[in-house]
Amino acid sequence: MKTLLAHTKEINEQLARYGVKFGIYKDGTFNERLFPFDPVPRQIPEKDYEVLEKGLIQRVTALNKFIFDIYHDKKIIRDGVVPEEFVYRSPGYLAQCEGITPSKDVYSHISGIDLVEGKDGVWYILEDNLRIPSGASYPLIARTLCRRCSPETFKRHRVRDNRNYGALLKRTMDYVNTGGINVIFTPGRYNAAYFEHSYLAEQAGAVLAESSDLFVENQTLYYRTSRDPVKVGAVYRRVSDEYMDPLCFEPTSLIGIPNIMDAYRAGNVAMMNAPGNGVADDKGIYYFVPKMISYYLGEEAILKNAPTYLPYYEEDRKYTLDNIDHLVIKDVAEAGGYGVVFGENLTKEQQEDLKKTILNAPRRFIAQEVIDFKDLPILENGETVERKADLRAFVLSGEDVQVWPSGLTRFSRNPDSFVVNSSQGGGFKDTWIVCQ
Amino acid sequence: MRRELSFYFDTVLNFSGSVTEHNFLLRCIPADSPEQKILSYTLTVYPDGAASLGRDSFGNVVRAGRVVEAHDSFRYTLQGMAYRDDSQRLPEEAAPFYRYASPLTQVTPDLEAFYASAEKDMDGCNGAAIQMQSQNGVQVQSVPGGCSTLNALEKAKILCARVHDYFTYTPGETNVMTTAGEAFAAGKGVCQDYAHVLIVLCRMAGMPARYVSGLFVGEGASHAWAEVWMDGLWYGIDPTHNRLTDETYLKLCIGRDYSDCPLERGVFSGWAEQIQKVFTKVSD
Repeated sequence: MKTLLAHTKEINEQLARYGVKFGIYKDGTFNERLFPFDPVPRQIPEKDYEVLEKGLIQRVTALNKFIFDIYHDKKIIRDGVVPEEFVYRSPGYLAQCEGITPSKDVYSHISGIDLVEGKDGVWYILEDNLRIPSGASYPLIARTLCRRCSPETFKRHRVRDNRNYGALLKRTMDYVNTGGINVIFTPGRYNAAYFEHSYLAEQAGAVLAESSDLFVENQTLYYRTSRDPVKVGAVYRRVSDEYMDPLCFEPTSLIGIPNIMDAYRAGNVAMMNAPGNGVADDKGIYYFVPKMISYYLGEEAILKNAPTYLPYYEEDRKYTLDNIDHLVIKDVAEAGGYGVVFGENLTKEQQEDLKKTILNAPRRFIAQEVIDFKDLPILENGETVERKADLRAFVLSGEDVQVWPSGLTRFSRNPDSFVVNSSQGGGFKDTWIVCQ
Repeated sequence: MRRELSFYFDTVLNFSGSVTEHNFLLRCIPADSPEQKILSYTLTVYPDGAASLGRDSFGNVVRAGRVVEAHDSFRYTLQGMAYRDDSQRLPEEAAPFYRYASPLTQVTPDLEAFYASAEKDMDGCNGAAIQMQSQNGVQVQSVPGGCSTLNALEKAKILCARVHDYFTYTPGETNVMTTAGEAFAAGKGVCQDYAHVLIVLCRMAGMPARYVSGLFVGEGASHAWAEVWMDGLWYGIDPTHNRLTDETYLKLCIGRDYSDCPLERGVFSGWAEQIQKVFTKVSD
């Protein structure tokens, strides 16, 4: 381990050369920032990982069934398990996707599920990211660099190999492919995650394409080449729903593919992830995931949600208002660590204002107990300090649902902060699944 | 009353320069339904390429196309015959999304206040009699004053009359991106804005409501109105003219608001201003 830690600087320099960066909006301006890597790995014993794996597979299976149901029969609403307004007021719900059946019924091909480990050793799900979760490329390349700097570390420690992510991604793409090549569709080189797009294309043997490389004709998606255009059977798109097709969604989008929705609806191309799947990763819907698991699978949820209250329900509303000083309040419409307020950081007056806001729009908020999650050691200026960290697990849904035996561990660099999102300026670690 | 309508709908887009790589999606082909049988139609698109037909999530017929070569105008012309008979409507469920706000039909405080002021007319006791006009000016549709329990359609009629009275019909003040809230704040607009505001108000009253693009008997431009759902049936209601629709109306496409169902939408390469000319003619 010592040799590995000694290479911190070199690894970070390499990451910077590869362009491992994150884009951050702060005070209205967009900045790119390097994503600092901390070489001390998070280690998860294999027997703990097995529980996580089972729980994640269960959760993502139920989420996929939920999205299918919402865009088809809506049984879960009719059976009164999920109140309809949580679905139809969710910004991730897209009426334009009603009735569309994606290839092989898969809606969330690549899911990024965020978890934290409590001090009690229990893992809690923090949120589901189903739209275009990013981050798999970071631990993937970091592992490669670590192995290069310190091969002996990986002889001494029995770490599950994580270099199969590209192969997993390819299998997922091949499974839903409707005939044609696999494409990773990027908004372009100025996108903060461009490194990830290009690296994953290389790893999965897919073609990296931008808007001008692709077009739709006769409900079929084509990739331009110097010769004849080639049919595309699966597109792993890294452009969000609203910009994907100017003829279906935001008409001013210049980074989309006109009429791709028409081709997708006709069943001639698989879109990964499927448009409209954001209805299931809404913070309000999160509350209902354990209920979904029992509704669709007839099973108890293996992994726990953080204790969550919906002010929409009277009982929960009362609890939220009475306990606002120690709860975390989240605005369901926001993402990336924005719209998150810790009651304890507010003055009495601000707490009262927040209560009023909640009372005016109870459906807009969720309240959660603050989980006292485990600190992880990180190196800061040669010293080891403890910081809050979470884990983004990547779950791939193709012929079967598989968890990538690794993940992105993000930590807060601010000792007082619980918010670890990279868009809030944190760093990352490798995640080791360790065999005993 | 049953009618046979002949319809003609012609749109020309003139570009100030050449455009290439023009992808478009038309929603001008009317869907067939028990109350609106399309007996025949011809769609001419020029220039045209890679034509394909499909359906969108709202049930509209979508006609896609792609023209790669340079062109400086684009024209599509639809003509045909339709048989209209509203007594043939069949009961159907209203998709739940028609009860919720959509991009152009968000509730604003102004609209909330306006709805609140209309609410007293709808409680069935304080309301004055509301008169709606039929096409030839004879008052045939009315909502009685005095105490009664109003059904959804009667409430919609009250809201329709309110919207009609509130707005000053003014072309050129709004555009296709204008939201209900913006149009309401201006107090001016065209049929699209009237329809959007009425849709917001009807949804606030708890009824499913949707947007219709279409044509009606006469000559001029295309038209837009709203539909509200009650007891399994959709009822057309036209706030621009303050009346319920009848067999003189021909539906081309529907959505939660205009943005779901523009008759034509296209993107192309090239810097060009575009001027659109529309001519429609419907006769029976």
